[in-house]
Amino acid sequence: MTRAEFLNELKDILQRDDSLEPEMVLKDLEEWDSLSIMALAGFFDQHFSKILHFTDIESFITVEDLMIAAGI
Amino acid sequence: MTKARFTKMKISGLSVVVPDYPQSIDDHIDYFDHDPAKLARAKKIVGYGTRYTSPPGCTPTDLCLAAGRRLIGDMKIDLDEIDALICVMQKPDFSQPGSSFIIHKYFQLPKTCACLDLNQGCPGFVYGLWLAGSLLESGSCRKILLFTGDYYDSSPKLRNRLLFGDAAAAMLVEYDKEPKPSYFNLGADGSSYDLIINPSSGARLPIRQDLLDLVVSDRQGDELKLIDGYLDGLEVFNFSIREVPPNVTELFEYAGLIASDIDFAAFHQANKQIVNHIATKSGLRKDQYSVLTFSEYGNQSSASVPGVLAHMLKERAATGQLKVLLCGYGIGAAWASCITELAHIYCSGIIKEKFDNMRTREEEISFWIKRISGANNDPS
Repeated sequence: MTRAEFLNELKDILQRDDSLEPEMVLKDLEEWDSLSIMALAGFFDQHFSKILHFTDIESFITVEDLMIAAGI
Repeated sequence: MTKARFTKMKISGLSVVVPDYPQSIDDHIDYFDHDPAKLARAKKIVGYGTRYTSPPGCTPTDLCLAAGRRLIGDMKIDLDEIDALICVMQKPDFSQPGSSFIIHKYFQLPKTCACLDLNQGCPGFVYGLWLAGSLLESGSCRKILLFTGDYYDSSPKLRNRLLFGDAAAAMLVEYDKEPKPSYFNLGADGSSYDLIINPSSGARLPIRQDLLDLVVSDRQGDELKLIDGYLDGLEVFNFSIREVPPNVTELFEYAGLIASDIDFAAFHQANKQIVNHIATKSGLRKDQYSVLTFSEYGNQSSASVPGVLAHMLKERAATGQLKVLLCGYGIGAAWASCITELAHIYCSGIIKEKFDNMRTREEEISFWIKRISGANNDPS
């Protein structure tokens, strides 16, 4: 998965209309809530075989951090 | 993993009852900050729709009695032939005795019928069916009534409560000399016992005055009381997607089947997102399973798997022969799956029933005062 594809998928997970940039701070996104965190956990399992725990979620500051965790 | 192959077990009939008091997610727009966009997003991701909740005084045991009335009446079951009654329930009327005895009394089952209660939630129906299958296979029983029922009114934490709908199921499982084999695969992980828990529901931390107003903030900043149920959503999701798909694929292997051999898969309806994820990971196509039951009735806990069967297969199970996968997972943590055949069974569908005029709390107290003081020696 490319970074551009990741950003597109993430937009879909967040059910967000506006585009996403790597430097965006997750907590500033209105859609960053428990619903999207669960969807993100499913996305990471499906595409990157990685389980996300609450401590991982807490450590993510920006969209870039998500891509690093995904290994892309 | 505990695996089993049974060759004497047949499901003959199934009824499911929900209390006819629907609540739409649209009525809870306050929880979504009165923002229709947020509500729409939650509906799309989680699958929120309608759920049914019990009125005051109506318990999971009452729902079981209603499901039993339907099953026993419609199938004209000869109760003298029932060898065992299994009741799967986490919220029995009394912590002692179990509700199997209440159900036994209500239907005037014979004294030769053994009663057994299982404290199990979402995986409980498949665990109960496995137990029933074992009793039939051993020759100990020939006809068994299996009841499952639950409700979720204890938690004031709305986010969790919005997921759950109340329901009960009754099923006749019996000996058959020529059934198609049934296969089971069960597992548990006690180290996750506290992912879904009611900390003050038993002997460890009995409810006293000091707990009544004690409020705790969870990791996401939601406030809840210690006397109410706790559910760690993310970790429940994680254990479900980690444990369930391998359990199902192992079961296929054990049964000598592949996913496409299954006519219908009834997954416990935790929510749309979890069901879609584990069904896809288990190799099932979209047309082999459904998440509609969650959207129309909510997560029905131990009655969820029979709820899916009653909801989605009412006509097909009555008229044809279906190879079904039944899969439950959740509190414990535990998970269990089964492959069995449904051939020309009685299936009520999901019955909506009113439970008005239930005993009030005052009437209940007065009843027990009379019972204990000897003024009323015939409890009913």
